[in-house]
Amino acid sequence: MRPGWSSLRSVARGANPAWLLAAVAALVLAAGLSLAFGARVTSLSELLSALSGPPDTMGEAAVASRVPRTVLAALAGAALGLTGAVMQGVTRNPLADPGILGVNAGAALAVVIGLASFGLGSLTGYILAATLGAALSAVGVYAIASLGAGGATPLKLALAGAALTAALTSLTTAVVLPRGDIAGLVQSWLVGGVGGATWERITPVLPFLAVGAALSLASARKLNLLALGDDTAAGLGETVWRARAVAALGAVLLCGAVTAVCGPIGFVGLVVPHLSRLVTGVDYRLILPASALSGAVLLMLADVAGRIVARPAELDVGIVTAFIGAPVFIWIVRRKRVAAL
Amino acid sequence: MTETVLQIEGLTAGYGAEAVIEGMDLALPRGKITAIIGANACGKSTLLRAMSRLLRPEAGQVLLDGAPVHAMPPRTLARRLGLLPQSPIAPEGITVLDLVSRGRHPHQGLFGRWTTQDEAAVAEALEMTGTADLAERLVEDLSGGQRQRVWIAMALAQQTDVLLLDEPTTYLDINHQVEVLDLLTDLNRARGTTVVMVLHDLNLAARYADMLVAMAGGQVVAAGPPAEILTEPMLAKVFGLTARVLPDPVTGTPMMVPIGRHAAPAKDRT
Repeated sequence: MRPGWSSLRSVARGANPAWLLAAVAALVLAAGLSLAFGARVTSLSELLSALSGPPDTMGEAAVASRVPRTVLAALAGAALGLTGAVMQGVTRNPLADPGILGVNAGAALAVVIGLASFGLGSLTGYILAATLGAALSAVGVYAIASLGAGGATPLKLALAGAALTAALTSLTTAVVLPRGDIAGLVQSWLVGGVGGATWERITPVLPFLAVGAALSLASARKLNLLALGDDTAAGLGETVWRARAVAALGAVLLCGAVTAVCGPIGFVGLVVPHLSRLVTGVDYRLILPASALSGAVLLMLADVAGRIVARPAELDVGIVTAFIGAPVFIWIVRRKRVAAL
Repeated sequence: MTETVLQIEGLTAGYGAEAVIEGMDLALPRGKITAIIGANACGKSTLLRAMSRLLRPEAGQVLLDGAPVHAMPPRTLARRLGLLPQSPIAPEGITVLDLVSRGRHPHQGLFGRWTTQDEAAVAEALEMTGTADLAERLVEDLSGGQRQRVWIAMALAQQTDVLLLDEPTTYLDINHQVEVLDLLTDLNRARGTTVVMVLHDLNLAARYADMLVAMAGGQVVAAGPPAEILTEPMLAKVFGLTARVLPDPVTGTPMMVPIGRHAAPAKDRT
């Protein structure tokens, strides 16, 4: 055996245990911070006793009320991180993100139309509307980008996404403007946040997240092939359009469900896969779980930061992620080899 | 008479309304090296794409060992017929080993378990292409010739009987062109792999191929051994080129020298 061949197994099997441990530790730490910090800061002993039994003090009650919020932040972050990684793989576009491709905007418009015209009331209604809107805009952006010679190239996809986002956002405004009765509700929802989370709001989303995550994670090997170009992927026995459709459906379910509960939260899907890639390399079997993990960590931390910086008021997490995401976006664009994903 | 591995019958294929190839018939011999030559836009790449089912024919069919390729399950086909497209994409940060390992995809089961068979195939592909020492390197850091050897290694790891290559030597320096063609000949001799490739360099095509297929206007103009195909009348017909054809001083295969409008013996120049 030559040196180097020994790593055949590591290529196939993947994860470096040290990184995995670090990620799990970060997850636990972020969850701890999210439970401890808020308008009221709780001590470690209060934190532990609140988690181990029924709340006895004000502090323990505060911690208990933060549990669903922390869980929602973790779930939404994981889902958005996964969505971004899948979309980047499906489109071979380093800038792909549910925000940039117009998928969030589509989900938001669908929810707003549902609210304004159909008196949408239940969360499941929100989720279905958001998923439908996300799916339609994903298909739309792909169709627009496929027009003309060369098919849906990364650049055309990003441009089509930007154009579609602008159009959908204006439409959303147009729907809301004449409706003073829902304007306040829509306004706060459109910012994107995890505040006010309750178990009742989380449970209906879980099946959508589960199916979306399963479809996404099962697409890892297909994304590895798509990364070699459509022709090579087809030559290796992959049915390219079907691989794309299944993975995209998973991403759309994830992002539709998250958008329905939290409103559109941007930049997590863009930032997280790039950070994950720095650690995992190019294998989607590692990138996808790593993106889910780090997405959860990032959104929990962003939510904590939002609670601290504007105390006693709160900054919605969607605003915090925009603050984190915008510089990273510029960093990605300015990197020389950005086109080579 | 050699056995046919790929049979093209009444093939019409193209993009959109325009048929690039119309009603083509062609038989490609098993275990041989075939080079497809012709001017740009004559349908060479389209033919290769139709054979590897990247392109669905509008009429006619392509038979691999008698079975129509467009009716085969894609993974079944990918275990028998490999394809190296003209410009494959290597994702930034991928190692040689990872790239070559991805060639095993059609052999892996639903859960992609990595078997000793996969490991042996990848090791052999690296060994054969002389890229074993590069296994840990990043593909983007390699020279053009090394990179092409790595892509061929990926196709080898796929372990197919037939290998289609779309201009495997384009953009390579001449020494690397020869290196790649030598490697494909090694592969053909050692494994009996049928090699079908689009080539631009006629002299190299005549030297390395057992059979030349000359195409023009989406049709096969002539197909056969290089000595019968690379002739002065054929060059005039297919490329509209006036040229001399001489025996290659190294191999005796036909070698063409274009004439052009300004040609004059060097001694006449001042």
